[in-house]
Amino acid sequence: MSGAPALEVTDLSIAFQSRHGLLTAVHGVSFSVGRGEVLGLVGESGSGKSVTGLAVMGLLDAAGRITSGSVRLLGTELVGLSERQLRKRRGRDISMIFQDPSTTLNPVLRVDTQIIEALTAHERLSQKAARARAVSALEAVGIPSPAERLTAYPHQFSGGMRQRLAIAIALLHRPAVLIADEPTTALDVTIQAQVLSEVQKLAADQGTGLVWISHDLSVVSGLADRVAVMYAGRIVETGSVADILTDPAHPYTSGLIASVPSRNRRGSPLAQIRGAMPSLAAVPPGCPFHPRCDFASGICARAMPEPLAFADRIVRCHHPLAAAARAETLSA
Amino acid sequence: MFAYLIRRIGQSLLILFAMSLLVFLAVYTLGNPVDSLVSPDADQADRAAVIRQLGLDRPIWEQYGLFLWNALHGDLGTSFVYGLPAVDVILMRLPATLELAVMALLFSLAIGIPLGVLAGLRPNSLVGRTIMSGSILGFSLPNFWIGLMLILVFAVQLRILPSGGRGETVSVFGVAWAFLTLDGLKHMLLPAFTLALYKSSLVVRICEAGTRDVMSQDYIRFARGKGLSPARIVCVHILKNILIPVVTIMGMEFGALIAFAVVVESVFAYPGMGKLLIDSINRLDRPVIVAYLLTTTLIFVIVNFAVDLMYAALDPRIRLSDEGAT
Amino acid sequence: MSDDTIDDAPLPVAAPAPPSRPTSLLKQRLRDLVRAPGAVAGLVVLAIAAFLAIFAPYVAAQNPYDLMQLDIMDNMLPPGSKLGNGATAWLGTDDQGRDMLSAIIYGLRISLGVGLISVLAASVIGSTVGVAAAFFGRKVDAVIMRIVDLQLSFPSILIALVLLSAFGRGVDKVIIALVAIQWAYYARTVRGSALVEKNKDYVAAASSLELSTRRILFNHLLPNCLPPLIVVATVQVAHAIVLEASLSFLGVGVPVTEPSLGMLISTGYAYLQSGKYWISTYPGVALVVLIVAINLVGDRLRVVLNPRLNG
Repeated sequence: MSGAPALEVTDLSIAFQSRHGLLTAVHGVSFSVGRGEVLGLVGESGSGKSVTGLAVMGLLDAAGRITSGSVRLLGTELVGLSERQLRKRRGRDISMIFQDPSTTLNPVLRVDTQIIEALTAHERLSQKAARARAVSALEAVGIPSPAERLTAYPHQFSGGMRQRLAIAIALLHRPAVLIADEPTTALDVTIQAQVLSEVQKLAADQGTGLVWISHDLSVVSGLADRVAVMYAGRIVETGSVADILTDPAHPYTSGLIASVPSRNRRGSPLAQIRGAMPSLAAVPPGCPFHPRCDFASGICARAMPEPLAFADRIVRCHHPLAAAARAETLSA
Repeated sequence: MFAYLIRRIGQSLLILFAMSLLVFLAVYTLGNPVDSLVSPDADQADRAAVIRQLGLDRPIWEQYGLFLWNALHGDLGTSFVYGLPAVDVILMRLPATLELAVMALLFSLAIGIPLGVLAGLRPNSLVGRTIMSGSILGFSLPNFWIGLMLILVFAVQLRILPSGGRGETVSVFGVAWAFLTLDGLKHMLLPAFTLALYKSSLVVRICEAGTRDVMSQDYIRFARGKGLSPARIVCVHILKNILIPVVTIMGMEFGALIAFAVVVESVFAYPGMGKLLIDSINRLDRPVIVAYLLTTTLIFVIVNFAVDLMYAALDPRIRLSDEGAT
Repeated sequence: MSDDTIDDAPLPVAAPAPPSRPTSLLKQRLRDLVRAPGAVAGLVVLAIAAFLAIFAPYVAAQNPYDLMQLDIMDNMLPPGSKLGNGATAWLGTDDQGRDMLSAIIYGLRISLGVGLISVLAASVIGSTVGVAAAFFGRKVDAVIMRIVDLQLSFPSILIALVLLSAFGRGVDKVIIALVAIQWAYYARTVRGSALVEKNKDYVAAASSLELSTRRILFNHLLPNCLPPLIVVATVQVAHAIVLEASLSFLGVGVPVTEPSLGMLISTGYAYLQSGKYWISTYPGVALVVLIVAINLVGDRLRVVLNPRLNG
């Protein structure tokens, strides 16, 4: 893996026009994903993780826009590209799948229509060749008797199968990056695991960089190489999965880990982070997490902590938990 | 499917039966039919003869039974004015009204769908707001007055379109059609547009709401994420979804188009069955009124039936199975 | 539909109280008003129309029905002409020498009157039936709703034509026909919201207090079905006025002696071909302005009274 990463997001800020004026939903977010690498983007709902995914795709709705920062896909800057130029890359170099498989596919169009239009959007190929590609794409995601299922409508598939269809469509052109916005949340637990490993395998085989957006740290921990934790529109901590799980530096990360149901502590009450994610219109001053934080001090309510880099990790906290990070604070 | 068809036909027959009862009660029992059936100069003996002949001296349910029996044999009485079977009089005028209503339907779709989708795609833009305000206007304008104003502008002032009549017709399978001649189309243009105006506002509203709804769906995001062109997204992904309510509602409204043709045909002196109805009301030609109402009901029933089938063809989630038939 | 908005919020700019912010209701209403300049314009037009209709004898230059005041020598004068008695006919005169402006003001009276009275009567009858259907449920509901569906599946103008062809012309007969057409809309609307309200706690509370059926119906159920009813009624006033105008135009509505706006347009129809446009045009303009105003207000009411649509 050499040269530019598949996707590199730097200092990305996103704002929405609302009745309360322009509200910033994402502040200066940076991350990168290499080919075949998996990044977990973790946070509660409202943290800005899905909006980040949509912004990278250039699919923000009319009220939202990127206010600053850069999104480089295979070394090409996407911010500022025309819709037409973005369209050429969408589905070919970068794809996205969504949470609810029952709404991702157009209910009134046949499956083959929806697959073939995705193929012909980027490639010239005959109807026959397109059908053959469609069949093999369905085969690859484990849909039984794909040739017959091709003429069915989405509602004739189960939830898990529909998500597989969406994955098959998203990966048709072997994109460099796949953004997966909680694609397993709406599925049954057993199906979840199947789909999860399916995506992981396909992405690895094709060398597709995966951005896995989830509120569930336990899903991400088994899947991702690196994790970025988001809170109130900011990445508060990044690092490798192993580092973050064993030695979280941000109290929020630590809270998320504690709230994962674990085998070791069966029967013990589940830890929860008190309070709730602030709404965009009412983000507290200073560190936005301070009202919910057990370690907050006076400075937390006054100043936004600067990102602090140590080893290959970054944390945004006045009182980081990890020993290495504390050492870094003292020396700074 | 078969069970569904049987039940649906049963429902339709029930509606026809109910309508025949209502029409019979309204037309034959409100007011005194004898007054309108017998010439004012007739003496007492003549009156009694007519009353007996028409069965007006029998109990009401017997009269209805007779009426229904005759109706089932295609006999709705004889027009006093034309001296012909009322059904024949109606059927002669039916093609003119049908082609007018179909033309109006096409107009309202051709005007309503593009504007509605456009307004739905850009709900907050000036264009979108203008279209939506315009649709309120379309709802508000009384269509007979619009017809008059169109006559004033295009026939009286500019003199480029005829002010009334049906124009040249061509006979196909023994039925005279005007839409096959240029002159006939010219005559149809203003009335069809007038008739279409209200419905196109309705189509605009449905399409706008539908487009806004569909635009917010994940599958549109996903479709954009596939790199599809906006044209494909609008023409395939959005249109196919909003066509379902449009077809349903327009099917139901086709009946209303035929009914409102009564007004438009009167404005443009268009010789369809709507104008015939008004003439018959003014001349108290009751058999023709009854024939008109029952024919129209029959058309409604047939159209609604056709719409159900079309609905099923458009929406794959609905199959004409027994559970979907309610 | 929040319950507190119905009793204390005057129409037509009533807004549901904002859930969290303690903004005063008045302020909220004003904001809602400014946000919809169309509705404001509509209200102003309606106020003027109501004023003209009520005070027609004092506002109009002549009584267009008083044949003594008409001079046949004044007939068919174009707008702006001087009449025989020295007055100016700003909108011209008709075939009887009637001042069109006066005729329009009087016509407005009949059009508005027919619209309002028929809607009032139809809404009372319709909502009573609708509440009854919702309250008694089962067979009563099934029968009533079948009738309503059957009637609504049939175009209103045909029903009116059938009835009027049996009754003959007349203002009272037109009103009866309009009521017969419209009650079904209210029955369906009110039944729908009454079914929702019926299952709410306060109705259960009222039943458990053993209040009489009638009191539950009229004091508790009906007031809470009002907002959708008001929206439907506003739009139906416009509908009724247009329908009456159409019927009168067709010659089966109001008699020539009591010309509504539709009747005036009808009179002018005969002279349209000869270019005497004003007889049909100006009453039509008045009619359109009136209908647009009602629809603008109705459209806004739909948004304001339906929190689900408040975006």
